[in-house]
Amino acid sequence: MNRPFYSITIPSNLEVMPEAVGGAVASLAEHGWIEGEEEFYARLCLEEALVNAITHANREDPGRSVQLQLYDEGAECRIEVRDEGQGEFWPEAVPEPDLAQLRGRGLKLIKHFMNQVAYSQEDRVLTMKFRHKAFTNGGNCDD
Amino acid sequence: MTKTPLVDFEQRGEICVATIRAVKVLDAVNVSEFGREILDYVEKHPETHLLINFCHVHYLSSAVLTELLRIKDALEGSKGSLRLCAVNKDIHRVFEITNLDKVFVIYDDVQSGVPRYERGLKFEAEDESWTKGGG
Repeated sequence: MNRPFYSITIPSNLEVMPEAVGGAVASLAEHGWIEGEEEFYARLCLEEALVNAITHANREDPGRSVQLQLYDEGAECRIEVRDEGQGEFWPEAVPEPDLAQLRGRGLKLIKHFMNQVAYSQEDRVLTMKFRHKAFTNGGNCDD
Repeated sequence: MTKTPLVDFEQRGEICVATIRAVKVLDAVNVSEFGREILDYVEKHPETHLLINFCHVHYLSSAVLTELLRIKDALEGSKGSLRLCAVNKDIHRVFEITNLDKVFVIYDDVQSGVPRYERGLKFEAEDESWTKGGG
């Protein structure tokens, strides 16, 4: 089984989220998955995924954790965000937000850059995959 | 100890320039504070024409976009308006991907933004009086 090259588990607290994101971005750069300005968009996707897990899935319950893991799959990098919440989440069924809508843009940004986005209801894991240069050119998983 | 505000407000003619000075990163952690400072100002100063200056901000997340839409609604509800300026190219791309570049007018910087914003307001006022006058 492929071992993650980065793994961190944090409580459902937004205050600790930047440290996890910062560590993951540094690790992505160290392992050659991102470079230069791609850091901005990698940070964005990781933050959006963690915020969703902390606030929507775990409802900021301090007794529930969020795990972030990064895997090297050769041609792709796999990002997994595991929550301990309840309720279903179907990222592929989330409609495009209209212009006046306040929320729903985090997932749109993730889908723009990632090549694949899926959520396992059973394992409660959001899986995102991207290839080299996805943050420069866009992964467009919803195309 | 008093906490340093995130936003400085400066009146320039008809336009109030709100410069985010204290932080380079606007994210889910500090977005509530950012929104509260601006909405408090809007509540105390109705009919404000606000230009938010992002020249010191290197990064923002989608939580900030939500807050900007709230601020826009609050301003328009008090006969004011909102414009943005000095967003870097990465942040501009976030506005484009989310289609919010069609919702917000974004100027290059404060220097060019203030006079253009004032011209826009003048044009809108003339247009309104023309419409009313013309019945």
